Amino acid sequence: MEEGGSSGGVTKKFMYINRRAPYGTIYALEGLEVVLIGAAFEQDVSMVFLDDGVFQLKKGQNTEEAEMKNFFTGLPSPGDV
Amino acid sequence: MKFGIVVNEGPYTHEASDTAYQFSKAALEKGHEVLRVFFYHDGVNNGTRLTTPPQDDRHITNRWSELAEQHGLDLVVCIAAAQRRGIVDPDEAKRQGKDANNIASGFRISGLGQLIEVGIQADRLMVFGD
Repeated sequence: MEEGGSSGGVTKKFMYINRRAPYGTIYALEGLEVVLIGAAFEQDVSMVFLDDGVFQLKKGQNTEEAEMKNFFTGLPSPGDV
Repeated sequence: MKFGIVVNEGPYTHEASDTAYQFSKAALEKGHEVLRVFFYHDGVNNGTRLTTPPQDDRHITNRWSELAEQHGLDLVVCIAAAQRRGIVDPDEAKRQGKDANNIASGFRISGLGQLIEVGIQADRLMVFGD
């Protein structure tokens, strides 16, 4: 825990472990929502992608025919990080 | 020690809520603090008072409600996850024009900021479920 930032003057490190593919379950979508809120609270946020979670980083995903929201367009791909 | 608890799975299908409950109860009995229990993903389904298990089985929702009453536990259900899954309190029912609510005693609906907040305030954030 380090001092600084907002949220009562405390910034902590939050690491989110992503182990699921992006659209088979809702874990990835709702997981991303927590990550964004954590960042909005100016916390020290990192994400790790393991197992099928690596599919979340695939470029050019098209969810139209699955009738699901394509929510990962904003994530950088490994090549960009 | 100050604990924050996160429950990410609904009742009965997974053991996560049982384990989180047993952990919270044991921690409180040992004199530790549980600052908040936050229900996310399908975990929000732990907070419906319409839960009706067979009589010879544990009542997971009532068990949480009773623990909350005994220890003044703060049971928070994520609003975004709750809306998707039809977990509704009187305020939300009014706001969304629903004809009923189903939130169990001791639970309240609030935002993800409550999860981040307890993550900041607690010494340990314990996550139960996938």
